[in-house]
Amino acid sequence: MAPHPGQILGHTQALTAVDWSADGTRILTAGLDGRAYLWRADEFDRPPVTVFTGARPVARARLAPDGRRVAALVEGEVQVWDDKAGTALPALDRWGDVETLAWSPDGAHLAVLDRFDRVAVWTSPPDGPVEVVGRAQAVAWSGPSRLVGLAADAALTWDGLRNWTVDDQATIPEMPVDVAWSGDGQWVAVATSDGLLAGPNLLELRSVAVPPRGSYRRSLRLAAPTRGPRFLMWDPTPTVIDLETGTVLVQLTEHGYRDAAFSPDGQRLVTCAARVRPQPPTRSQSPVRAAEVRRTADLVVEDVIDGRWSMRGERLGTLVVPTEIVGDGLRGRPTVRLPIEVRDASLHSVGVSAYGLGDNGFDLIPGLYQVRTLGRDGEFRSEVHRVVAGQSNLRDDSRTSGRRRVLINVHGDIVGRDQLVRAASPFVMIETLGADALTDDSPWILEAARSSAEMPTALFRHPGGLHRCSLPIEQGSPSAATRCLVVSTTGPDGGDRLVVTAGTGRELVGLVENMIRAGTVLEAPRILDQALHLLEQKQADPPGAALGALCLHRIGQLTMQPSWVENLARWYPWLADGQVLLAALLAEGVRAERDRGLDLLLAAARKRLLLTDGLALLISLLRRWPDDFRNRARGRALRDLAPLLAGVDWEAIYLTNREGG
Amino acid sequence: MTEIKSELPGWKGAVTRALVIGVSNYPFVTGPAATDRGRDSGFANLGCAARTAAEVALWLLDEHHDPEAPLASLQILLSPGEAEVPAHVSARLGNPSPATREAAEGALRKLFDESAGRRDDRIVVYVAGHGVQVTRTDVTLLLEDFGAGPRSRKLFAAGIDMAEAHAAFVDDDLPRRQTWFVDACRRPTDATAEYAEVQAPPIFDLRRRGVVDSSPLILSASRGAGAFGAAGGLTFFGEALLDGLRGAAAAPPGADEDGWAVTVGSLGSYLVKQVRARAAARAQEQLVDVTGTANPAVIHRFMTPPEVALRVELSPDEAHPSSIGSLMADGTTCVCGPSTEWPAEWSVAAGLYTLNVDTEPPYQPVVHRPLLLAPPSQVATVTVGAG
Repeated sequence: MAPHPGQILGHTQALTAVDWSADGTRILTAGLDGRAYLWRADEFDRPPVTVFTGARPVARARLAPDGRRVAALVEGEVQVWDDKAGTALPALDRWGDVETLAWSPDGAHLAVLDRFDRVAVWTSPPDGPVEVVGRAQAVAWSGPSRLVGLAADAALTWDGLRNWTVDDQATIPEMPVDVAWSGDGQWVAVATSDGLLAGPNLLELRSVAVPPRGSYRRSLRLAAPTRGPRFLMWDPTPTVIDLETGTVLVQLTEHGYRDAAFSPDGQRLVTCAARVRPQPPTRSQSPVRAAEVRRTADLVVEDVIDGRWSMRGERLGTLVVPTEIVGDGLRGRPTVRLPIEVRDASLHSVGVSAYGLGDNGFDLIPGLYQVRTLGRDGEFRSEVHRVVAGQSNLRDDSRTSGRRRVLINVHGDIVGRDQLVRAASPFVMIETLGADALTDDSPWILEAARSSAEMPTALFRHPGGLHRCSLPIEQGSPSAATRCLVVSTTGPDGGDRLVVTAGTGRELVGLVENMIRAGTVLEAPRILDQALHLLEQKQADPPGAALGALCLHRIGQLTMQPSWVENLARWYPWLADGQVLLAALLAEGVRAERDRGLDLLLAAARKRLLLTDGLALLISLLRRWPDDFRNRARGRALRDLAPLLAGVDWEAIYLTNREGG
Repeated sequence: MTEIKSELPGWKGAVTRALVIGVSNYPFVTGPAATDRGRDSGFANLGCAARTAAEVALWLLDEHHDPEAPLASLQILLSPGEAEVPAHVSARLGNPSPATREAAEGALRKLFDESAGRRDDRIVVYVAGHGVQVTRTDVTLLLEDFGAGPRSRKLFAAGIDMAEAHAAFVDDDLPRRQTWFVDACRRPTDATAEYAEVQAPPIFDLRRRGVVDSSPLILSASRGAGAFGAAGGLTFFGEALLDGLRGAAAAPPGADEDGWAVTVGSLGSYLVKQVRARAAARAQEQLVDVTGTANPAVIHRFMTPPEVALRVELSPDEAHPSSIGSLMADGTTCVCGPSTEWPAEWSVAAGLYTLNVDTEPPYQPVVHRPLLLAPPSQVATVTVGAG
């Protein structure tokens, strides 16, 4: 599949396979990112020459001798990629666990062995037919059209003309695990559950002493060069053995290798390992190292394939954007990573990261880029960065610039701690229910009382009348929701107003509040959804969870299961907003559910709600309940709510209203 | 009822159907035909609702671009004040019928019926006028015949419950993508006792519900006519809406998209901020709320990236004669300038650029200053300090 113009070359996820072309000029890499690349084996400082691009992870890959086709195992499908789209192996029953992909030396056939010991031969892939030829525990090509399979008691051959036939002459070691022929047909090695055998043919196998390397015999695999007696044993770390002398030439000690392949002359080895998972550089890491060529003694270790490239052959630079984390994460408390989007000079999106670990790195063609981030104040911000080839942009100041602690938000403006000035307030707190006031003037800090069955509220006197606020605190609970703030402020119309906020120590709820105030919920509903799930999972903040749930419900994006809403309604009876939310879900159910929903709704109408959105939903449901019954009860509930509605500050997140006309 | 149908020769794909209602004139509230109950309601004629609706209708006819669903029909109902809507605009719109309850109900039913079974179509609804708002997300639009009829007639019989109408269109048989705008001048809050009675006669059966992909109901609620808009102009919301649709709310393409577009998310966020800011600049308060199903969806597409009006101001003034400014793309291609005129004013496609100002001693040149240019306009201030 051809790459699209401007595509970035280089693996974005871990490598799973490497291979060397028969002429020794190309190295194949393939990985979980669904991509495969051909690199120039001796010109590693240049971008890859060919790329095969798919969307699904590649588990194994082998390069055809012609160097133009790649056989790949992609989520259980065997595909052959050439310059066109990959072609999957025609459907065979349960070919999901392929253990071996082996090209014939002339590239005319591809042998496939699965874990059920079935062997298929694909002729002239990707266009030719596939034939299931029989069963074996290990297969290898001993010549251009001669596939040899080893079973527990027999050697079998397929020569391209006849079916799988038993080779009566061969001496079959017990429990063969893998077999490999050198490309010139002069050497064969057989790995068994007991060790390694080798010889010029299957009749003259002898034991080869190899250092004990653990108990992974079942996973012992072999690879062979085009010519010569050097074989690669794999149990599971690579060991290179000279079969002629029985000498171990290279024994790699690190774990986590996923694949390795010889150069045709047997002088070099290319490996890939999980530990070299390609990642963007950070200040402590070197650039991407996708694969390595190793030589020791005459196999010299040598780094290759270093860095990433554009399709136009430009060396890339790296844009590292620090992840903004909301929530302190202490004692299991939840955190949310805020999303990052990177756009090129035309403002086309080239990368999005919402949930990545650590800093977010983007390998990019040199030029200008916009980084758009959601801040903890609920606002999106933009910065312009210049990406320079082979360099990272990371600056220490960018790591901390977005971390200004936002304490409170009034009439849509973000106010930092340093700007929070105690000013004479026209409001006087005269009463609290279910809460204790820790301060006696704005900002009032209110703490949950030990226990109460009512919605906590605070009552304020103002020259224009009395104002009551619902308070987002949970009583008698060890959750984080023990304190909140009430601030006196002035609206753009000059009117005095009370603003309630979750306050300090409840950063996730603060984020939700800020996103609502900033109007960014529509652009980043997933973040709100994630925050809500975290709040719910941890039972960390029921008022905050109710706030997020109602906000998402209002824009049709609440993804919580009904059982969660049921729990919200059951577990927190003082939080009637949960009952309203449950009623809204039940209103769309069958008649019995609707009846229950209406009961819940009428009961909730008699309670004080926490959230303005909860009240709006309550009113909407009372006015438009889908069944035409109990209309009097609904009408009575609406009439009873009329005095409250008349004084509601609809801009407030937490229900705030004038009382007593 | 007035309906304008677009010619779409050979087009067999999805289409957009639109309904626009604007009510400024309430003859039963004020003037010679006013009734006692109309006068007692506390309402007055509006100066810009019908004009704004007409402008939105014109935008739909002339500028709306959705290659997947071109505009097929536009129903318009207008009740303007005297000389509120210029004659040529009215003529262009086919001299729309008055926006009475009967006409509005008929238009909604027609929209419902014509959209039935056409899930891939789009619906756009814009209404403006007096509203009675029970909550932030629950508004009844008052139509021209509000206050008419005998006292026995329910006061809000000449209204349309927009939340109910919007909810009724969330139907498994109707278009999956809809956009609803309600631009309402909220009723003064002194007549609070009637909140429980605010119930316009229903039009649709809400028991028939379904699922749509995206159907935001974007509501603007002003506290009184002063916050609604200036007479002879547009409503604050309508003004911001049209600016947004013309590019100010345009979002660049996402990872899987081709071009710039106004989306539910970009328009909703823009309106929330802009309407609040525009009203606050006039010492007024106006809120925009979004409810319904606000999933990501495109409302309007641009064929090319929107233009940005860039103004570059150079200081100090003494440096003007010796300074030359240019705007570069990719750091190498000059796309605007070189200019020796200050301030420099250029129009350029939205994107990232660098600004160069070449100057002579004692001033220091500015080299490759990055600029993010987003629609509709931007001012960059550059100082060439003395070395």
